[in-house]
Amino acid sequence: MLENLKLGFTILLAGVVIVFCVLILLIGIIKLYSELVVTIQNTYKKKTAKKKKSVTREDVESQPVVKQEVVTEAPVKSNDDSAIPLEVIAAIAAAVEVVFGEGAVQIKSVKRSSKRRSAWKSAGVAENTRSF
Amino acid sequence: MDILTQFWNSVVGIIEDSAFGTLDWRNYVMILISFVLIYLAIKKQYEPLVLLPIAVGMLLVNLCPAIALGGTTNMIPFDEYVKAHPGETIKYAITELNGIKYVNEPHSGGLLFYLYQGVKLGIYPPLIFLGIGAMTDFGPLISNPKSFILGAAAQIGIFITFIGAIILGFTTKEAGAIGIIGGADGPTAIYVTSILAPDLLGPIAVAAYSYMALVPIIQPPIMRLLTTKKERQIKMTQLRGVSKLEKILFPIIVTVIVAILLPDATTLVGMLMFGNLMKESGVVDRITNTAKNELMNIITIFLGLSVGSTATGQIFLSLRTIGIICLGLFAFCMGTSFGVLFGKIMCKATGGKVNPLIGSAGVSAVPMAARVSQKVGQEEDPSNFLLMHAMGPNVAGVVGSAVAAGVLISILK
Repeated sequence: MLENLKLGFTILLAGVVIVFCVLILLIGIIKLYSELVVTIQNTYKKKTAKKKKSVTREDVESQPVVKQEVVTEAPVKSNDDSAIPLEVIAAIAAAVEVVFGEGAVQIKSVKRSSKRRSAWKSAGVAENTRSF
Repeated sequence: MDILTQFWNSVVGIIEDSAFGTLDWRNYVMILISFVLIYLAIKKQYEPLVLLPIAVGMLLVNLCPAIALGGTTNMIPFDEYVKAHPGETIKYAITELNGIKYVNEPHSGGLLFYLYQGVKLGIYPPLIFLGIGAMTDFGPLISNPKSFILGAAAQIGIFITFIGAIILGFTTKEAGAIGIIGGADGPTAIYVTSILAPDLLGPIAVAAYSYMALVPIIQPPIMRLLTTKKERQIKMTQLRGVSKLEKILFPIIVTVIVAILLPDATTLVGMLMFGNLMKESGVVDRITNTAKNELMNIITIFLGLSVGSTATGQIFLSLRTIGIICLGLFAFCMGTSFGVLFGKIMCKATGGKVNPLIGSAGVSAVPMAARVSQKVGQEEDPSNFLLMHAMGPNVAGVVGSAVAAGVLISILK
């Protein structure tokens, strides 16, 4: 019993010290690599941001504003079943703004693509092209 | 008259083979306990995914003990076997004892015996960890790595209970298995017990999962007792965002460090981190989904049924089991207390920036323990949101209990 108690206290001490040491080591390593990753990513972001700025300034000076015209087939009416919902129009407009830049494009109309894949075909394509 | 005697003998034979003839009172008590557990799982929804299979395993093994018995071999005298199977080729091994030849005819064991091999060989717990890893977001821990301290503090209960178990007369190996209940991590408890004290698997697994289910009842009084109203009202600053690269590097780094320092923790931590790497890499969605859904569900069924099948009346209804249940509760309370106390230390050290309530989440039990921190915090201040802050110590507790398990295995095995 006394022998077991001795072993018990040894394990208490060893266990607590080892668990704390391993986890404190992990704290140090996580902090270190987090700072490293954040620094690298910030530097990369700054570089790409500088490049983008120089490119867009040149583009804005040399190119006129692009005007995109899309003819609508489905009327934009909320009470019509075939109409494109206003939320979808808003999402498309936001996506176009993000891609071409704010104010660079003017959307006149939105229409459904006639050459759309069926849901089954889309599911099949997604299944076969997804990486294993 | 002969017909009547034969009829009576048949009836007696059927009754002797039935449950009425083979079961003793302890089996009936366990059947009643299994009914209570089924009620708690269905009506009260206490960890039903685990509790229901455990309860049904318990019910089946106490109704029909043969369902968890291993295969047997009947030694039939050679001549008798040939007479009974005329013209058949003998497929089984033949042994000779005292000049008489015997045919060794094997009989397969019960279903739960074979399912139990996954527990006995330590296969199911690491696979559960794989699924947990695929479901866990380590973001809160990466953004606030100091949470690891709380995850470590909550493991102190394991080692204190170890001494308590030795005082109560358990062997060192059994004491190690009982202490790990304090980690509040079912798969870890089962894994350690299957290595150190397989005979105690039933009571320890049932105790571990019961206390995990009772987290919302056990923890709040301890949390309120050890903290002041002012401390419970502390609002923590929002965590920083964590990039994808950091999340991908985390499982790799943790696996390498833990495997180098504690090889015995590699199985659990390695599988946990592999699951997480699959999730964070984002390139293997199909196997990630399998790990966290189908595989996890299948293993949970197997694990629950086979753990329940170890709780036979003859093993479960003893003073030792009552001792294990009491020590498990003690371990759990100690883990919670040390987590909160270290939370208080961190609160003081940071000038009141850490709410000590998140310390109790260091006892694994993901995500229940973190939800309890959130709930107790909101009782004091409804506008306080501690959930994401508590998730850090909570997932750190999973890593911490796996490390503690590695320490116990490496010292005691």
